[in-house]
Amino acid sequence: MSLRWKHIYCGFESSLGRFTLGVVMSLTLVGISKADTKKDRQKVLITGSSTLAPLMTTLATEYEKKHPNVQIDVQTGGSSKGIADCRKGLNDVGMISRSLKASESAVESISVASDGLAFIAHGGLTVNDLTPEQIADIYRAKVSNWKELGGPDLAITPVSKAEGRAALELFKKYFKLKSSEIKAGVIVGDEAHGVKTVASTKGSIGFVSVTTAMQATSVQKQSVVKSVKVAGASPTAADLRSGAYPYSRKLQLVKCRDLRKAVKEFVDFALSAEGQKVVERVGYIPL
Amino acid sequence: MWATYLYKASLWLAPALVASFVAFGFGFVFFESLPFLRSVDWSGTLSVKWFPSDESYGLIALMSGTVFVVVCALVISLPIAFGAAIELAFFVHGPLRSACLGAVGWFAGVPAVVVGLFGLVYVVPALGNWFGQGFGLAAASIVLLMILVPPTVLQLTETLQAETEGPLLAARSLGLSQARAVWKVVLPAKTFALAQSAMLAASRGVAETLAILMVAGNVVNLPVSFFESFRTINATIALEMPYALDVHRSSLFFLGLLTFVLVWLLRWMSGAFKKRPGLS
Repeated sequence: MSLRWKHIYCGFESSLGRFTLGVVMSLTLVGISKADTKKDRQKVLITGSSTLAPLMTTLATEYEKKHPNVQIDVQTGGSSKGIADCRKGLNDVGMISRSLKASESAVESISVASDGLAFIAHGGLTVNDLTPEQIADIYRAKVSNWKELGGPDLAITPVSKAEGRAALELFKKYFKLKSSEIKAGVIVGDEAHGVKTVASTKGSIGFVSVTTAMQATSVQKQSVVKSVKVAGASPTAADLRSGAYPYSRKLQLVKCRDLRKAVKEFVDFALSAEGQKVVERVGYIPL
Repeated sequence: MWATYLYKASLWLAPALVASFVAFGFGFVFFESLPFLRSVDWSGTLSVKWFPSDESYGLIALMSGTVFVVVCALVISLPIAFGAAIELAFFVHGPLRSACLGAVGWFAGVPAVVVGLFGLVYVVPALGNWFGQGFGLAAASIVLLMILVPPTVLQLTETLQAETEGPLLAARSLGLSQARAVWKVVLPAKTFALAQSAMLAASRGVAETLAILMVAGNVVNLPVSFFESFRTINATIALEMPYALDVHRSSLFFLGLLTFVLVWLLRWMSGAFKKRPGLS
């Protein structure tokens, strides 16, 4: 039958009206989904470590301000995902916060910022300084009360990280512990979870990245979470650079093939003096 | 007219789509867990040692973590939820009822993650002060209670009032008090509704991941005390999936399969309460 106005505005009552409505809605949805792809925009995809993601996001925003035809997407998923995606060609560069394993060859890494392993403890703890052996003993559960280390009579709750996390790999490497040797009281997932857990558990000690520790101890009051010195050295930029604080690592980008022009220019920006100023501003430690 | 047939077809298509999503979901999880199923040493799974990096896939600690936390949570939340639902369905009327249902509805809308955060920041330190360690079954059960009770109360209040006006009126007119009418006449006829409600709450408890992860402590342990860290199946999947490779990743999908099985078991158990047609 021929289309009449009544079919449109009494849409729901007639079957032809319902059909027309369906077609119009589908076309609108298709139109909306196509609306924001600008053909002349260059896209850059960066995936990987959640430790490095906030920094890359800020660098991307700064870069996009000067180069409006480039769109940079930063996604997390972990260092392993960053490497896997890079090899499969699913991203332009990957972000990693751990060193490459022997099986991860054919991948080139570019350092973007410095970082390390920092120990944080519950704010009310009176112990400020520990030796590496004491820390290893705490995590082996050989020492279970702070009074054995010159502190109050309070049970120690060591906070560790889930299997596969970069920070855990770093901890095991520097303190020469195996997974089965670590007897944690609580296991956490990511950095923020770690900080929140240490902040709410009396007598707890945990490890996070230096960047997270710096942010946690400056943003929150000292009484909530505090940074623990190891053999007199603090996890600060100065001590890391001088080598007094030995638990360092570099936050890196990985590439598996030659970079496109747009991607290369962004990476060069990140490594330039201007980019490193952004690194410092966001709270990370520049190279 | 063909447009009508298109419309009717879409009514049939929708449930078919839903069924296919479920089938696809199960199929996907099953296929992804095949590498693990093919290569696993089954005798090693009957242990509490879950160390995937050392090829040790002990399932006992994880399964008991999930089962224990759901059981403990149900033990404390079902009495509260059932009591509240029965009160609201039969004993409380008027503005007070609307206010209560409104408040419960509001709580039901709080995301589980927020409840987990509340647990991490308030419940865990409080329990730590009173009992030594805050992380553990106690904190997880309390958090699950806050998550499970509101939707259960809402759903059960609705369900209890369905088809009970007749019997209730009959019982009252025979001289029974409201309390007797409810406990002796209406509720015995509604045991399936109660069982189904409990099953839904249990399924929700099995599915809950993040909130429990924040307060459980996540150490792979057999949970023997209320204040000792433990880990559930879902927490394992959430914590290890981003960094798992090959067989480890496949084993996590197998854990997902286990949760499927657990929920099916719950449905089967609640089906045992179904009555033949007609009131007893």
